[in-house]
Amino acid sequence: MQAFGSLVAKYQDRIYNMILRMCGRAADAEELTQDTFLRALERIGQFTGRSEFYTWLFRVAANLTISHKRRSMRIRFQTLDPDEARSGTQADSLTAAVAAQRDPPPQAAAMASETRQRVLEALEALDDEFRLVVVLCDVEQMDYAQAADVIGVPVGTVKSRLHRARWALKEKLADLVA
Amino acid sequence: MSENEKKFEQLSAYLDGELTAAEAKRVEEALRRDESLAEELAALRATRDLVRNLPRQGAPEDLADRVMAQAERLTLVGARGGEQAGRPMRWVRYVAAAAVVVVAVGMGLIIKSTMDATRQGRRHVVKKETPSTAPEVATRTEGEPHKREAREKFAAKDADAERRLAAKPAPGKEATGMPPAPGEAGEKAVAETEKLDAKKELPVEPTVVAKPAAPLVADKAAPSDESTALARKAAKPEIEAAKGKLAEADEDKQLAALLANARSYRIDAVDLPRNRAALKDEVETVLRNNGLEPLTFADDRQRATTQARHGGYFYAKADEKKVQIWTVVGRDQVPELLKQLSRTQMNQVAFAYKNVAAVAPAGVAAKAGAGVRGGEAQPAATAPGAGYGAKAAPAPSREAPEGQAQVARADRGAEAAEDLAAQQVEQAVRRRDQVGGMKAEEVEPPATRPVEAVASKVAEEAVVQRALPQITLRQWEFARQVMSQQRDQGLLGADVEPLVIELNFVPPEPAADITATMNEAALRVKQDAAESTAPNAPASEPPTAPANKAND
Repeated sequence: MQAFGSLVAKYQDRIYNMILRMCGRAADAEELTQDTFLRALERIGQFTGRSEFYTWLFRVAANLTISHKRRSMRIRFQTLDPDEARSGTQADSLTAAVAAQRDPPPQAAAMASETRQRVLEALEALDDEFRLVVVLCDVEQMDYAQAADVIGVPVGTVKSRLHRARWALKEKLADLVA
Repeated sequence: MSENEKKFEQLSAYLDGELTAAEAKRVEEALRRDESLAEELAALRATRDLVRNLPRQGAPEDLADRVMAQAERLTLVGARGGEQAGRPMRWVRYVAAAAVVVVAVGMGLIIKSTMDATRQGRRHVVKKETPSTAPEVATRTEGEPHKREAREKFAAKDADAERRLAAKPAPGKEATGMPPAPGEAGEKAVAETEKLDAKKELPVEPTVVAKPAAPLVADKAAPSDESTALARKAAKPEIEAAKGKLAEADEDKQLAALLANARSYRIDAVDLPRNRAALKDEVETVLRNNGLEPLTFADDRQRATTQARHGGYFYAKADEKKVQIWTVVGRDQVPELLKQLSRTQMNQVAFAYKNVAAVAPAGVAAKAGAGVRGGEAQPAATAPGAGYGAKAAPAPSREAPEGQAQVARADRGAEAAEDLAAQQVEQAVRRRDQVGGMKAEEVEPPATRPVEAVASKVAEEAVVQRALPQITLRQWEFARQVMSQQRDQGLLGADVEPLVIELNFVPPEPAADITATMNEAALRVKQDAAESTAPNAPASEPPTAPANKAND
């Protein structure tokens, strides 16, 4: 159990962040992160060691998240509070403290917040299969082979999906990209 | 994919450094030639950076604790509905499905063979039908009036058919001897009669049905059918046993086992670092809810003294590494207390001391040094190295008999194991005396009583083996390590060998255990099935419980 605890401690932030970027809601991300580790514990027997453990863990997380999204497709909740996802975390307090120290101009802060919100919305508009590739490759900065391992598709598929996803994002964020 | 799209796809991969050297070179050449392509690359890079620069969100602070708590709960209560538990169940379902198919095929063959038999001996069957089928039909149609009506109708028609057949001049000429219903009408009547007869044959003439059917089934499907049924039968307890082993049984049973062998308890709650203070509060709340007020002690001596003069106390503190809860409370209080504690969010390791020198009154502590047979207690003051009992101020002498009586009660359940252990020790001593020519007392100082210490240890392990089949070797070793550390720190007397019980402590490699258990179960099921299908093989017996590893 100690070994499992160390795995949780090591990967919880990455898994949580990945799921959050996939599902967009902090509450769901928390729940799905918990489910991911519990599912991993249950199915650890399926981990054969042919792939890296963390890619296997990410695969569990991705499958759970996509299943969750499909289940809740009919009822979608859209947060009106852009900071909802960040509330109550240690990272949040730390970020707030650093931000307070820097004391950026209110205008710049508002712009950064707006940009972030735009990117998140553009990301959310992607279909799950494209969004997952973007999250893995750009947010988690995995290489194509790792992403392919997580998703369970050939590397060529990752390459193709990532290109199409970026293309769609670029179209949506044209004014920011220019 | 269009050429243009492929080009842009290469551009995206180039951005990520995912192209081979040759491909990258081609892209770079294209970028030099085509300005719009370079602009596209810049836009893609900007898009990627926008996503990359999204702030990373860390998991909530207490997420790990919650995950661990749920993981423990899952493992402890056996609530895993997941893969490990699900795999064998799915396997059983597949076997069951296969069995249904086999049975269906077998039934089809039975019906077919019955119809064949009917064609050959319809008259015989029909004649025997009336007296023998009445009760069976009644049984089978109970609660199904529409079927009963249909059968009665069929029976009436059969009676007509029988009369017609009886009127025929010679058997074997039904087709030509039928009433004047030539052509299709006549064939229909024959077919209908055959159908009706076939329907009734199943209950009517068991010998007729069973005899042709059995060989057919045995020839074509008997091995799989039989082995499937046996496998299903054998798999159920096997899997249940495996699940039970993995789930570590339920808490109440463990508590009962713990109570049966212990008079006092120590619980080390090895918690997660983050919630240590909260855990201490939680534990103290549980204890207070049970009417136990917290006490603090200047040192272990004061604690032992206080404990010796009171019926019970508890002590809880949170140090740098763990929360310690000592309880020496009335036996009637312990079950509920432990039950509640075991439901807190923490790993729990409980040590139940059969020899209670560490925390018990001096009179009891003396017994720990003196051996395990009831009533052989030494005076506390003369018991060397008897742990807290020896370190503490001598207890009032009036408490000694009571302590001895308590020990005697506590040990009553272990008498058989103790007798066995004593015999083993006596044999060992005799052998040693024969070989070395020395008596035990000449080898070891009398004060340490090595023979009795060995007897005590053997008896304790025997008790563990008997009372705690769930304990694993690893858990046992872990507990012993803890005890060794405590002894090094002077918290326990050197001769105190505690009976160790670990509650709800889950081994860290569940996968290996589960896989091994399931593989073992599957192999045993397979073996049982093979043996059972062999000629003259005895019926399969329920598998035995998993072997106890405690004292391997």
